[in-house]
Amino acid sequence: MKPQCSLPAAATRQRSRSLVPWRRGFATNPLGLVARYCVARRRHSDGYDSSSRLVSRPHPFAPSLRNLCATVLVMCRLLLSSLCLALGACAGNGDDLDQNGRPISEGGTPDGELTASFQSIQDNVFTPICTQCHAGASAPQGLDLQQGSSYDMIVNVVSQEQPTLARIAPGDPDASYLIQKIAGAAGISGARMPYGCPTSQPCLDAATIDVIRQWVSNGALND
Amino acid sequence: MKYPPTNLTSSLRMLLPLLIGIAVHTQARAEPYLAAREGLQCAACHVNPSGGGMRTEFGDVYAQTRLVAKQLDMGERGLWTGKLNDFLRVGGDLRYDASATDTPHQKRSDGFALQEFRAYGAVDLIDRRLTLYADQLLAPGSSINREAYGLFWWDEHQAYVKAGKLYLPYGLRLQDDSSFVRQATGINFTTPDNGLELGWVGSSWIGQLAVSNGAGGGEENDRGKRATASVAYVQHIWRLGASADYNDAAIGKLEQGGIFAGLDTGPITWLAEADYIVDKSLTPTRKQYVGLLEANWAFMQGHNLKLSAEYFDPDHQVDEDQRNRLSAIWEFNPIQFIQTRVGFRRYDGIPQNDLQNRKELFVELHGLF
Repeated sequence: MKPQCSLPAAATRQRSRSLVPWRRGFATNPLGLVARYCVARRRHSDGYDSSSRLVSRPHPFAPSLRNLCATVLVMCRLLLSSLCLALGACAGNGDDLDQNGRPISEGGTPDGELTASFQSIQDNVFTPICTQCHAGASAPQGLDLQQGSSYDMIVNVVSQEQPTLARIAPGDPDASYLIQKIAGAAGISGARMPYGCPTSQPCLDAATIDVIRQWVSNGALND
Repeated sequence: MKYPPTNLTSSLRMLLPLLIGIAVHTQARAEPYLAAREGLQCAACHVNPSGGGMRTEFGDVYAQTRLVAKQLDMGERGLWTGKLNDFLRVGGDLRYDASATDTPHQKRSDGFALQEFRAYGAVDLIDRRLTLYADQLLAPGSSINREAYGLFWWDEHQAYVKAGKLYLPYGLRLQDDSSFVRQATGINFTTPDNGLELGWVGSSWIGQLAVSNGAGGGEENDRGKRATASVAYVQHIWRLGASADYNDAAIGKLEQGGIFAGLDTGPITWLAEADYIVDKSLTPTRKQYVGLLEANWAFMQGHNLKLSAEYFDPDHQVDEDQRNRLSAIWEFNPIQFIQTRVGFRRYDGIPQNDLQNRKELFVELHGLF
């Protein structure tokens, strides 16, 4: 079966003037500095036959080490310089801030070891890790884990993903969906939390999970 | 062969410093750069007119012919278009990662992980007019629905309405949910919402307006609703758009707006987005700035080098709390249906927070059909 890859109507209207990226003249290219390394090799067919079907296209250009290095260099310089020019975008030095980026004058988050108390879990887990996503009106599943609202959002509250379980069932960590999610237990819906672990950030280690389990076993008090 | 008129050239010369000026930083898993590179709209390659998820027949064929380094002969079967019959189409994405994360003062973590296996299904009840669509996350974990909606196109295939569970139309629909612009705005592939979306897909103008529960994909828990809108002007080598979002949630109101842009400069395609967020649900109310600048260099057939820089100011009223993220990712499509990605990301944040200063190295196998 040959594909009849018709474009959506709007795209069809645009195609004749749009699907020719390599055919465009670099005389119009505002980044001539970049383009001059590649211009001679970037022109080729627009990839369509006379029946408006996609066809495979030839190799756009053969790269050389010089092209590669020069263009990467230019791209890096452009990215970094634009970032710094536009935003003065160096990371904050953290002066007068606590570990969660809040001013110490606000009361700050005390440095301390994680213990089986709610405030300690808030300070060491929820605020620095979970509120990267679970904060405010945009929080996934409506689960806001910020200081002040997190306790009411989890303890004896039914899970949205698995309504047969509570997010935290006091005294019963195995039946607490939040525990299952951070431990990556079989049967959870969707990904293990924190989101992206272990690829884009570390998963919570066993010791941390054990402390949270202990807090639940102790009755999940708001202490 | 026509060149853009001189006044357009002048406009671009003026536009570039603006784009660079608004730039902030990015990470590297976005497909919007393909739309910007080809001068197309999201609806050209995706069933969802606002992008993401199942590819159209055009999108499937494009991926098998234009993106690959070597196109293997498919024999008599021809190219895959996902079409099981005249009514039903299927598709999917699978991402499997091997990664290492180096976090200060912590033992380095590494491992293998299935990032996602998503399956798509679309029933074209009336050809090009009425579609029922589902996007299901099959793994990891047990299956969970991401999108499920009915989509109706008006006669000219320019205006549409869809109703159900849907991704909200806002900014660049980047694949990477952990990019600052998607994470801070809270609008990404993990936060579909139940609601209604009206859209317009013209030859140059694209617009969407969605009204949803505003519960982050969870059950509605108040009377307030969320309104999200996005509009973009698309030309063959550049595009410029703006988005706005207002969520009247039980825990407080959220207002955010931003601009996004794409620019094709031949071998390199640029994307940029900058957003301003006022989150009254946080205590105290926070005004946040977040942005992204991304460069995609198609240095060889089947290869793409993605460099990105992102910036996030989590509270504009607090000094020295800003974060950056720099990414470099090499994407390689050796043959149809397979993409490999090798990437490095470096986070920069306040020194007190180890997680904000981690480094990641990953290799990803991406299967797409």
